[in-house]
Amino acid sequence: MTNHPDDGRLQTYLDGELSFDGAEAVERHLLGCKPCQERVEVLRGREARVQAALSRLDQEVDPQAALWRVRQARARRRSASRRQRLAAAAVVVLLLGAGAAVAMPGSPIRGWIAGDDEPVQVETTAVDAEGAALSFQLRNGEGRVEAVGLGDEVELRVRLTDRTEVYVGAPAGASFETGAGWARVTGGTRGALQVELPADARSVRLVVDDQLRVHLQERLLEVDGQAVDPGLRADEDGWIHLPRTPEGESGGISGSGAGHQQDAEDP
Amino acid sequence: MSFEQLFDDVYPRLHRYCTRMTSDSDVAEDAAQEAFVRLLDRNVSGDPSGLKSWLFKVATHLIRDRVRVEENRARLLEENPVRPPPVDTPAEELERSEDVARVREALDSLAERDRTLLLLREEGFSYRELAQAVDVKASSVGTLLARARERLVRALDDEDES
Repeated sequence: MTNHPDDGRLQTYLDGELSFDGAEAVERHLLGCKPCQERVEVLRGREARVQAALSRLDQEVDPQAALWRVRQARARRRSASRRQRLAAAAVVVLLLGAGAAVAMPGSPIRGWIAGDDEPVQVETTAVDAEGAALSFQLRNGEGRVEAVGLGDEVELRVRLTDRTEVYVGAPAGASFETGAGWARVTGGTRGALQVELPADARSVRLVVDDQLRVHLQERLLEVDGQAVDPGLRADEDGWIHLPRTPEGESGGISGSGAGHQQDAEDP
Repeated sequence: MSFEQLFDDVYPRLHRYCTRMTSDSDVAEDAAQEAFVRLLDRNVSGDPSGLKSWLFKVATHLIRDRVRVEENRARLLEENPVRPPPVDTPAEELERSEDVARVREALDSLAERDRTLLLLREEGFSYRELAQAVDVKASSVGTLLARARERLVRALDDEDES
């Protein structure tokens, strides 16, 4: 190398970004060139000075707390998005069914509107690829979701929300019954039974095949009789995954495992 | 690589980058977290290196947008100032905050491209990735980095003198 390498080339050399031949040429030059050796020291000194200065701006970070906030933010966003879709679907159903409700006194829609304590059959209305959904208000701060006859492949999951109603997403092929403060899901062959529980509810229960699987009471969440910290057990969407049979009968709560699996494939 | 592994690997660096990029720690934290929320929302896929670049790019844009909003707000405040009452600050804390302010002033005096290059390089991005991030040729990155460091050191000296 007859010419002196400029600062840009020396910087590229220092950063290890030159090709093998390029780096070798710079090194050969440096061996016999005192001014360039001094330039390299100046560049190194600046780098050290810059790193020391920038480090003064750094703050402590808690990745676990941050991960939890990311999951919560995403759960809230998806929940809001789903509510919008559900509301849109409900408008369509009501518009289409309004005439039938008037014309047919025994129709489900009329009963749903009129009924309070009286059980009402609700037709399954697909709102997304996973199946059907409805939401209902608590009664005196309490609610109950029952599921019977779910297929073996159906997943179970719950999560807490800051809303006041219970949201029930049922697997494909399921049918609903609902009344004041309760809903019953029957059947369903694929997808998931997903229940969103108002965190501030006095008491909400999820009963599957006559077994109490989830009980939220005064902000204490129990899954299969065990207290659960949602912050530790939920996946990135805030869901807590339940085994199909209660813990103790065939294994524990899958926790964020399903979420991990999905994420390992997703991004 | 699972989402959690990616988060563990990238979040601390992304948070540090954002904190250095803006003086508003809330904006920095929001940007770092929002980038990951968007990664999940949009189901962005790719190799870990590509995802890391994507996250830093999103966070950079988020900060830039927020900084513009904050600048507008600051202009409004300048026209209608609301001055908080003076508070007693321990000497050590005062010294540290002055120290931080000097570095911040020096960093803010750089052109946005220089600042982005420097900070991304500190987080381990290659010249090729830096070139893509600020839209220059990879062969120019060494020169730009050397000049950016020189400018920052000079600005730090100026701040120390003043």
